[in-house]
Amino acid sequence: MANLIVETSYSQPLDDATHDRLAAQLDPCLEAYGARWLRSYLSTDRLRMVCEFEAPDAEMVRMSYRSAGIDFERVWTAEVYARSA
Amino acid sequence: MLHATFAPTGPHQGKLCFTPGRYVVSQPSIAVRLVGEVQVFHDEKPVTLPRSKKTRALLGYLVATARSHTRQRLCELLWDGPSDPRAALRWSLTKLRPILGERGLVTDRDHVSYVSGEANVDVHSIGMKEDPAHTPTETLQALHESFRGEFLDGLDLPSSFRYQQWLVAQREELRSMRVHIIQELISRFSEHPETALRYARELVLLDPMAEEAHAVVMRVLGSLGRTEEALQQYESCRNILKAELQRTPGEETERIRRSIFPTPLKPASSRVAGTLHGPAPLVGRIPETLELASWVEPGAGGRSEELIFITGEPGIGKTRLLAELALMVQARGGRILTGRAFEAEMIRPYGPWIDALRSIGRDEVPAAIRPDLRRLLPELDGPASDHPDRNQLFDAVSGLLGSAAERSLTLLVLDDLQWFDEASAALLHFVARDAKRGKLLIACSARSAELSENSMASTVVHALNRENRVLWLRLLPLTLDEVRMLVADLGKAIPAERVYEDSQGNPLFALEVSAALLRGSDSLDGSLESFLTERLRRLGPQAREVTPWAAALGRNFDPEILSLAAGISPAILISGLEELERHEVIRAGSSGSGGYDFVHDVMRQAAYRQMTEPVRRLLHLNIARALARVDDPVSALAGEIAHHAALGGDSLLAANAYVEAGERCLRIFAGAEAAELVQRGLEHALRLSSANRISLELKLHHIYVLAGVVIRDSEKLNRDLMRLTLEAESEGLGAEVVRGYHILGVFHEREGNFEQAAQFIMKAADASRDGDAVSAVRQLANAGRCLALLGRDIPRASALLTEAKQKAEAIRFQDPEIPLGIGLVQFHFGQYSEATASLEEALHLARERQDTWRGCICLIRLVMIELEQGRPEEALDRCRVLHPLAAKMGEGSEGPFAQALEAVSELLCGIDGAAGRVESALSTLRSIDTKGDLAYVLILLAEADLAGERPQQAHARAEEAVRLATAVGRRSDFAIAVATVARASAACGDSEGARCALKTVMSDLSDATYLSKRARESITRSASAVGIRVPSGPTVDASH
Repeated sequence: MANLIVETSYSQPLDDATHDRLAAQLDPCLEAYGARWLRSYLSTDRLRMVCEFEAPDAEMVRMSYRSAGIDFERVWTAEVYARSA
Repeated sequence: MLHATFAPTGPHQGKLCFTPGRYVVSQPSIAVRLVGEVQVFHDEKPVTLPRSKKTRALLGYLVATARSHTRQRLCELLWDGPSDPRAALRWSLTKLRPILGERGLVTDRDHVSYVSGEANVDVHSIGMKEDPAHTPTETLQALHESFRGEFLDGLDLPSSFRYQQWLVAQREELRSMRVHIIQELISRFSEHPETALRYARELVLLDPMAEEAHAVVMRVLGSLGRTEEALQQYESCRNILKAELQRTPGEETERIRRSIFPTPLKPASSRVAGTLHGPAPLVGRIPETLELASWVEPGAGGRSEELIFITGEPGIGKTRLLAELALMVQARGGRILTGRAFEAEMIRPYGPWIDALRSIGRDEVPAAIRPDLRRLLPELDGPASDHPDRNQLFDAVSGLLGSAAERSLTLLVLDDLQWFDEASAALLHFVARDAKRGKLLIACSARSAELSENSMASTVVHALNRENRVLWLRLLPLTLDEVRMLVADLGKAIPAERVYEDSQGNPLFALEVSAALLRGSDSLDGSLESFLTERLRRLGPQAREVTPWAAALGRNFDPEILSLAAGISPAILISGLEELERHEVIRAGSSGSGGYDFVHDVMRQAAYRQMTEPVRRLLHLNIARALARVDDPVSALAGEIAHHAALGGDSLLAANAYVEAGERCLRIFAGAEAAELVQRGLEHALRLSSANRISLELKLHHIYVLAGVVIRDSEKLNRDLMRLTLEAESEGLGAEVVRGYHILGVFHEREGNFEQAAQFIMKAADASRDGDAVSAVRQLANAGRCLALLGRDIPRASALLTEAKQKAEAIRFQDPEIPLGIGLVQFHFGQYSEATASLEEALHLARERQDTWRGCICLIRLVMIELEQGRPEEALDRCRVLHPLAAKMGEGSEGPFAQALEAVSELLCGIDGAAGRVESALSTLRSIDTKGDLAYVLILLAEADLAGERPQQAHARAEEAVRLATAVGRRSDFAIAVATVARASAACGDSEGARCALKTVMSDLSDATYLSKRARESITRSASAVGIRVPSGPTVDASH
């Protein structure tokens, strides 16, 4: 499984209702394509979001977004660097 | 002043002079200033510009852009409303020709352009070609001085939104240039803190949210020992950041603050500016006053016109004369009903009428007309009429005025007719024609130059004038003697000649010049606005805090809204308003609603123009959001919210408010205003994300269809409505689908296409009934298509898609997902001709819905079908169609995969250079991490390698494909890759390795649906190549 990063941006601040609607659209598609959402970072102005997934490849995440009709800016495979415990 | 020369060839311009060999016409040198108030100079002398604001805006636009424009484009830019925009454009061009010269203004039947030649245009000179960092200081200072105000100051035209957007963008660009210049000057003058401080303060004014500018001011003030001011600056910065960006000052700002010794802040001392007190006296105007007296006097000898109409330039005394008229009526025991139009309120239909009618007590409204009036005056008790129309409403208003006039002499004063909306102007026409000349008197005023730009108001006045219903008073400037009388009343020795010369006989201007002279000011540049600006500058801090908000709110404003928007404490607000009232900047509103008016709109404009574009935007945004919080059950504030949100840049709020305001217009039969609001709302809706955009676009189109205006391009409207409805279907927005079909029905009914209308209405009913069914179909189809695309659980995919298809047919619903999914299943079973037909159908539906991704998937699969059938030339043809579509997908795998398939097709066709393109495409697929696509391409290449007797290369590619297909669980591709490895091994002489490899997939043949037909065939072919017997089992079952 690879770590995938999805970058998205919005022309209007993303409100909670829209966020919930997008999540509801995306979740079944992620499941179908074998991708798993890990976490998201939403900018404080709510205009940008970075989401992290675990999936067999980047294409599975792209297909999930495309199938759900949700736009993204880019999807890329990432290596994780973290402070050791 | 910047000047240069060119020679226009107008017949009456210039003088004859001799140059060796021939006579030529010497033409004036022309200079144009667009920054600040627009000015044109011929031989350094200012030229009088047309009074029409739109004509001056056109001048600014043509000169600033200095390129060719179609007449159509210019009409759309400025004259979208009038019935004959091309005539309005022609008229304006006639006015501009002598100003810009024949060589400057070049026109033909379709195009208009401005050729600057040698004329000097300030914005063209300001346009810097070099980085400020590499520009000499003197040049930077000269450029800085060129910024005398906003670009095309005072030429805002909120109702011409295309022009307004261009204007704001130009201002933004110039502002950014100005900021860069000032930043560079600040750094150049770091050794001269007083000079640097001046520039830094200017920077803060230009962009109050630029924290670094606040920091520079603080640092310089600190270095000058002005710690109290530095800390005030810090407070101001902190408040702005908190209110607008919800954040605190950054580390650098905090560091500077800590470096300055904090001392407690003291309130700033209030300075009192010298002003004139008391109402302006009525000086001169004797013939006009006599006419008024004769008009008011009933009976024999009095004037018989129904309406009095006073025109003249701003500040000439129209409102003052109306006040005199009101005094005459009151002296006869009459009552006054006052309404005034405001520039920003072009979108508040009947605004002046509503204000005027509210002066009549509720208990005076006859019961019979109450239901009809409730739409205009919702505060009236009782129900609104069920099926009223515009005539009924007009009748009711006329009836109300008639009944008021029966009780006592009634004067209806309607001020600033040049800003009347279409509905208000139509009502004036009705009331004036319906009124029986007796106890109802109607008096109107307008700025003569701007009235001609309001086609409806202008038409109404001229029509009434032709019917001899108008007594028209045209106010001229005061004479020198009259100015003497005016200034003599001020009680001090003011040089009347000087006042007369400076003010050119305009009384408002004369009073301002007098006040300035009384204060000892002597260095103003001579415009009315500069005097007013100077007066505003002398106000105390609390009044200065309130003024920008009041100016942004409009000529008439409610202090409660101001407080809500600005977040100013009540103590500061009260004290600020009191000071503004004391200094005669504002006065209590005439409607008695507790609001305030600016004493004159010119005063409000002066206050508004003091603000920079970013500040204005910020203020409008806060006002819009404050207004949106006010309880407003009848949407009376929607037009204002839309206006402020549009100027504040909040498209979502603006578009929603335009919808609300448009619906209100429909309720009160203001169709033209509703249509105008729709056009403005669409501009904002188009900037929103898809669900919001579709919903708001449909709502706005609905209003447009219901507005009853002439639909200019009905084919386009039909196309737009179809597109939106299909988009709504694609997005699963059930309610919007219903709305879309419903509007299409109403639209076709209006167009007389009754059969089509009936079909759409039926579709709307079906969509409404099947809303849940549509969702169910979409879910089934989506789940089925997902499985089919992945090549997993094909029986389930097939069952889901079959069910989706049956349900969709039952409700006559089409979704590209269904034929796409079915096509993928058919592809799995190797039914290539059926799959092609299904995918073509899906492609057609996807195109209709502008669903680029599904279109791409269809075309990619069609290319794969051609390749798998050994037809690379046909695959290349498909690739040519796929290419532009995939390019639209932005970052994703569609473009790279399409390029890889194209390169492989070229390779198979034997096209030169294809091998290099294949390697490059493989490299791209690896970098974007799309394992399934990469595996597919590698298998195609490995098969080609085997056919070309390159077994080792085939082996390497097939092995990589095995790894990739395993990682993403592509069963069929995995099986084909393994079978290809086996054949490559056998071809290399490793029969044992080949058999070993094949055994891992042989068992998968027992299930007819587990592997695709192509995979099963590949295994069978490899097995026979290495001598393994294929077990008998189910043959490929293509049915589903």
